[in-house]
Amino acid sequence: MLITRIYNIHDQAITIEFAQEISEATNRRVIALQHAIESNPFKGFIECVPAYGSLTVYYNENVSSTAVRVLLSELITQVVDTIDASFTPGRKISIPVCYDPSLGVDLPWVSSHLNLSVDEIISLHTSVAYRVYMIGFIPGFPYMGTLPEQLEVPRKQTPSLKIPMGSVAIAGKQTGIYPAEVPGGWQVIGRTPLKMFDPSKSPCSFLNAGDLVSFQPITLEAFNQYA
Amino acid sequence: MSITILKPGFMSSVQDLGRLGFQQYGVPIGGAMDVVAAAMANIICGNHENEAVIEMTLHGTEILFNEKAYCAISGGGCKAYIDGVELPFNRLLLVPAFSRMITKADNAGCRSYLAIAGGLDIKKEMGSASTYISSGIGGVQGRALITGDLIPFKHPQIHQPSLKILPSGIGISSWQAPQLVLCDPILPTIHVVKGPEFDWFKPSTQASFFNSIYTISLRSNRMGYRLEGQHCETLEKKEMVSTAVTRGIVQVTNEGDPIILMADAQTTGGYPRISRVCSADLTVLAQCRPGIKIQFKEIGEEESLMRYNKIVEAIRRVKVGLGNIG
Repeated sequence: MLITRIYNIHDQAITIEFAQEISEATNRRVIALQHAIESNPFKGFIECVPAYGSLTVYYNENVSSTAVRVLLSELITQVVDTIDASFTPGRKISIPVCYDPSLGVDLPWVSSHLNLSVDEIISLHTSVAYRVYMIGFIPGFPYMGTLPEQLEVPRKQTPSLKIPMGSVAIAGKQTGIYPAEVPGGWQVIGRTPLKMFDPSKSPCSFLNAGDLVSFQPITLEAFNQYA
Repeated sequence: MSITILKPGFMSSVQDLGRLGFQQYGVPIGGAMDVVAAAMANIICGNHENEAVIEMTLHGTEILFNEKAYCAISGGGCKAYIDGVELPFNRLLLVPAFSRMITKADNAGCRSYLAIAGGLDIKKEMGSASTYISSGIGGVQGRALITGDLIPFKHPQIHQPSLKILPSGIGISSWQAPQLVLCDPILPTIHVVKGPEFDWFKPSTQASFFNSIYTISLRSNRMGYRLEGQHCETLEKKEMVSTAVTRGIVQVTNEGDPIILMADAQTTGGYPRISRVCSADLTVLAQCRPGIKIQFKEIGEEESLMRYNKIVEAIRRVKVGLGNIG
């Protein structure tokens, strides 16, 4: 079975669940199905929302839920054989990050918790390319993985009330970037001068689900020159 | 042609029926909390149902009409007056220039919608006029309305409709659009369908949830309603992988408190979803003010759809009916 279940989350939205897991193979299927739907949208289709292991499809009153379920089930059957081969590789994107402790305010805690020096944390965090599994939580927030095992830390017991815009943070197997100043529970290890969300741009989000992100360390001077 | 906000009341903001197409970037749909009332106010004015309207929460709003305007108010939560004359809801109104509309407390409902014939002249941002305050998008500078905001409106499509004109110069249509959704002011019933993680919960929670009564917490807003009452307990503490959520989803926090996601709900979430509110009843919920009690009643997927289709059909009939009046 390619999918585990299909269910409504609203009278005009259906979720197709591939697997409740954080896995690149599963997420590729999610994005492949999204592309298949978007490249040939059905009557009444509004939008798709990809998540780690599921795709949610929104539609309007011009089509019935029953019809959408049938249509999606047929589409999944059609793409089942090709879904793993048909994925388009994501864009490769390099993001500058300043890991100065004045910006990566949780670096001291992470360093003592993991028994790693700040330099080791930086070199580990910049050692791999991360897949953007999904955008969620707030506009433009990328959920990326998978973090090198040595960097896994728990979320904060009590979330910080204000995490500055551009903060690069880690939690569990994931890393993310805060696109705006909001409360948050991830451990902040650096900051990027790039804008992750800009409503005046199209697309409004700097990253898309499926992108491959690598981080480039920059100095505090270089960070300040961006502004 | 414009109106001026003299007082925003508890909270007022510009909304339409929502911002579609950007959820994959984490941008919520947003829009009017009570989409039926917002659409109805527009339809009465001869506007497209998605025109921008002013969503007024409870009472205390004061609006100055700088020019004569045809308008309509739908929804609930307040009574509206101009110079002591009560303005009926769900009727086309003619408001003379320099009128000052005020809203006073009513004993039921929570949100009312002021639509102006022609529509508010609000620049759309990302395809919608809806104000999403958290990201500062849409409406007037991406924020709730404040004293002094001047909101222009477009030229109306209505041409000399027949209205009864009162001595004050206020015009009121003889016909009234029906109140499509009735909200029991004492203990509204909210129809819910089992959620995707319903079987994650203990049998005791599963058995009691659909008959329980919850109080809508004072810590509720356009993002979600927190519910106070019986805690919902999961069989085991397991982490959920984030997936899409939307308005109507009832998610349960680690502390066991249910939260009903509303218009400004985030696009994804990681809490188990015990149920989802039948989409037709979201309009009932939008009219539930913090502090009141609600009762859940379980229905199946099919009945949920049927109830939703009934509302869509009722709105269509009003549109056709009013089109015939002109």
